[in-house]
Formats: sequence, C-alpha cells, structure tokens
Amino acid sequence: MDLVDTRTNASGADPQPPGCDADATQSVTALYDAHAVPMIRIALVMLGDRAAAEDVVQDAFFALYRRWSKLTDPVNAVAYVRSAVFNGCRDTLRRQARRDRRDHATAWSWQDAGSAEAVALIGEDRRRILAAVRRLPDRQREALVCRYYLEMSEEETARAMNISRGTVKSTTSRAVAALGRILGEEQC
Amino acid sequence: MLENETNLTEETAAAMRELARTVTYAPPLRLAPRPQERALRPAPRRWHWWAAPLTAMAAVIVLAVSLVVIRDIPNGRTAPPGRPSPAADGGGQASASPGGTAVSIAPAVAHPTASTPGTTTAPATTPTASTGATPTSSDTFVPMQTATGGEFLSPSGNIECQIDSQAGLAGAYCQTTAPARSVTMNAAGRYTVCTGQQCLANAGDGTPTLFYGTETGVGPFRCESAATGVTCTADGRGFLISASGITPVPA
Repeated sequence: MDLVDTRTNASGADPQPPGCDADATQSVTALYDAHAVPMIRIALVMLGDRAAAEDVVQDAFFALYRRWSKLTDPVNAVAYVRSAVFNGCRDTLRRQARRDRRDHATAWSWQDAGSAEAVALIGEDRRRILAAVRRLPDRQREALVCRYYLEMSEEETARAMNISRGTVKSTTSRAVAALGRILGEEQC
Repeated sequence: MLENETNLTEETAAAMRELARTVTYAPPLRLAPRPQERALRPAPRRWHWWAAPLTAMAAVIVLAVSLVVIRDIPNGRTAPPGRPSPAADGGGQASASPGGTAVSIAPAVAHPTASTPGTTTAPATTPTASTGATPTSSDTFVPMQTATGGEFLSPSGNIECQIDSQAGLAGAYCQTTAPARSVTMNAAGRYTVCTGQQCLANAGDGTPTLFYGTETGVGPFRCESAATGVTCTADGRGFLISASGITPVPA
C-alpha cells in the first residue's frame, strides 16, 4: 500500500517546501510506513480521538520532512517524531480545553470521542479506566502513557518528557493515586 | 493497597493497549501543511459580560462631547470659512479676503447716552457724493436691514456701527471694543469722539457682518469695510475708525 499521497506530489499542486528534496520525501515516507500506526496509537491513547490523533501524527511527520536537511542524525528521527507527537497532543489538548471552556462543554466522555466503533469493542470496565485517564492532568496522563503503555523506564520517560527522573516517579505516583480516586468516586 | 495499585496500573496499561489495538492502519502521508482548523472555522463573535458597561460609558461620553460641540456652534451669523483674525480692522495684518453678503435683521444697538465731548470737525471739503440714498457702486453695496437704517459688525467683530436716517435721529454711530472708543456723526459729516467704557453699547444678537470690500448705508450715510478699518462718510466727509484710532476722512 502506497502511503504517500502521490496525487498532490505528481500534480505539483503542493510544491516541496524549501530545503526538501526527493531523498527527504523517500526517507520520511519510509519512516511513516514503519511508524505511523504506533504513533497514531500513542496519540489516540493521549487524546481519545482517532481523527485528532491522525492529524497530530501527520503534522509530526510533516515537521520531520521540513527539518530533514537539518537533522544531524537520521537515527534520531523516530525519537524526534515521537517527541513531536507528544507536543502535538499537548497542543491539541490545550486547544480542546479552551474550546470546552468557551462552549461550556460538559465533562468529556469516551462515548463522545468520535471513535464509537473502536470504543464499542472495549469492555465497560476498561472504558471507565480510559475515561478516568482522560480526566488526569496532561503531564500525569503523559507519564502513564510512557510508563505503562510504552513501557518506558523512568530514565527513558524522563528524557521523553524532558523532566527529571524524580519528577517522573512523583508524577506517575500522583497519576495512579488520582486514577484510583476518580474510579472510587464513580463507584460511590 | 499496594496490590490494588498494582492491579490498577496493570488494568490501565491493558485498557490503553486495548484502545491502541483499534488502530490498524494509517492514512496516506500528506507532505503539505494541514489547513488550520482556526482558519476554517473562525471563533464565533460573542458578547462579553464586560462589554455592556464599557459600551454604555462610551455612549455617555459621545453624548456629552456632542452636546458640548453643539453648544459651541454659533448660530445666527454666517461667516465665510476665511474669517479674519481679531487683529484685523486696522489693529493688525488682515488675512481674509472679502466674503459674502450675509445680512439679517437684528435688534438695533442703543446709542450711548452719555458721551465725553471731544468734538472734532472733519475738514470741510466740497461734497462730491450725492446726498441721496442711492449708492454708486452696486457690486459691493449691501443694503441695510431696513429702509431707514441698520447695524453691522466688522469681520473681526471689534468694530460695530449703526446708521439711522430717520428725521430727528439721523446719524451714524461706530465703536471699537478695544480700545473702548466711539464716534457719532451727523448728516453733515461732522462727528464727535467718545473715549472710555461708558461710550460703548453692546451689539445686538445676530448683527450681520459687513465683509471687507463691501459697503452699506442709508440716506446720506455710507460706510465701507476694509482691513484697515471702517470708513463712514456723509456729505463727502466723515471718519475712519479702527483699533488704531479715529481719523477724519478725507485726511
């Protein structure tokens, strides 16, 4: 399956950004083929919205494409994309929070996430857990995703989140405690 | 508690993995900037809670300014845009060109009743002008308010004159506000000067302006407005009044 939208490139409607050449197109496309699905999964866990997750990943790979010539070591490209995905998720969550405040939206729920088909496949208990994760502060949620979904070590999580190892431990601990509290409140 | 926490983290990880497994493919990569959501869907205009008092305050300010401006607009006197400065009429350099001929009926100014005698007689000359009421230069002549007389102001507003041709009251009266000085002339061109505040009278509301280069008069009296002052004559002689003083005409 060709994952590159060749129509736009062939027609010349979207010329390549300055500094991007055929090599960059080929390399980034290959990386996308290999890592797009895992990246979308991370973004989906963070955001709970499939369409938003795909947008974030598209933006991350496009950013990589634009910076390809400045990338000193292409081996770091995956780490760069993952970092861009986390940043994109934070931006999206911030925009979403502003929009929710502006529109006086009620509490978000997984049922409203626009991923109805996917959510339907998940059991009730796990949907409750995911909804509780969604209510955590962004940094706590990010720490949980890194530690328990991506199974990163505390050191790796600290590097990914650009925080100290001690902060990773405390943030994760607070996240788990908050999660238990939220789930406990729901049972009452 | 520890067991519960471990279970919770395991359940959380399992829930995340289960959600992640729902993603089985990625859409085609598009190496072009994604249109910004904000550009496609601009934020709706909203009425903020603080806008109401601010708007009300702005409306009150606008209303107050409007009232002040309206109050300051003079009414009843139609002067051309190039109105000369008060320094004109012989008191300084005149800058305005002759304007229109706006004349309106206005209450007459009372003559000063007390005057300090300072009688001066203009030099007797052979009258050359007609003693009738018909002016000789119709292009610049402005009729007075009534057939028997009227009043006018110089463009600077410093000189005010009144002419009356009624039998027994016939005379021309002019004054300068600064300096306070007035002159009264009879039909023979003989005039008397009065100096001091007691010599002045207030001009009536709506007194018209006699612009530079124009003249007016009734009966034997004729007054001409110029940047150098107002010259009034009767029977071929009279006076020139300006901020600089009152001098006989012809000199």
